[in-house]
Amino acid sequence: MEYASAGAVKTTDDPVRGVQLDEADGSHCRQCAAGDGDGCTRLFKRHEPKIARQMWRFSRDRAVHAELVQEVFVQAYLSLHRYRPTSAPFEHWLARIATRVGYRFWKHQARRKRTESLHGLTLAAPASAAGDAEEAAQTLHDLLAQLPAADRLVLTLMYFDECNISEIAGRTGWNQAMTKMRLYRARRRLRRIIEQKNLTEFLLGASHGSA
Amino acid sequence: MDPLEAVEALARRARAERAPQTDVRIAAVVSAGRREQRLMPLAWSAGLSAIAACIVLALALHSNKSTSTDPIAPLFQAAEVQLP
Repeated sequence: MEYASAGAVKTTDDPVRGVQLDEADGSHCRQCAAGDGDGCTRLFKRHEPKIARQMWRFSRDRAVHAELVQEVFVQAYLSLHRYRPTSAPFEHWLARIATRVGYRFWKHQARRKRTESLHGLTLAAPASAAGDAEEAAQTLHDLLAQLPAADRLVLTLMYFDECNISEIAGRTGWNQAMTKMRLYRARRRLRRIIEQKNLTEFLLGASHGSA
Repeated sequence: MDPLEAVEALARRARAERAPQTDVRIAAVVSAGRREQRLMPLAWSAGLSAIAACIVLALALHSNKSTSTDPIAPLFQAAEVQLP
């Protein structure tokens, strides 16, 4: 994966804060902040695959997805002067912006339409292992879309990105106690939805490839 | 079975999905540049307004200090007359 290979560049450790500083990111950030468009492009290129992956959790519509990825980079560009390399790696800082952009999108979407129907919850046999993963992701996405935006966000970060409570708190900007409470409530709501709609067997089927 | 265990199993499979790749970096730089240009006059006018407000505040404080009489003093004087 492009991002993984890009991550193999030289890094230095900040002994005081325990933050791993990526020298290439640092240099590109400086170029970008100085108004060098090529520096920005190089910086965004390194992080685009990961951000694309992250934003795919927020919208599975390809056009909207591309818009969200672009919006993350626009927001990053406009607030780059506030980024402090010693406080967090650029990747983490960008992930926080991506979470904020995605969450705002969901809230905007919720205003237009309170809930989306559980479309696509059929036990159609997938064509391949990749198809299985895609269908599972679509099912999980639709299931989590039944929840309010805040609940959906904590569970998306937990289930899709395998974030623990401190990582979720870091990405959302909420404190850990609030995150823990939101996670507890979100899981309770999700459990209620699954039980009310009697979806446990269906979810198990989808998780085993609906064979 | 616990419904959330089924969700966990579903999530394990879902994580294997490959997200579509995008190529928006150039569009993002162009869009950010445009947005920055749009924000610039706004930032300037906000800055100038803040400076103007500071000047007015400084003048008001200065004139208040230079006023020899306290505007509330007559009120206390009236109250003293009323009290024995």
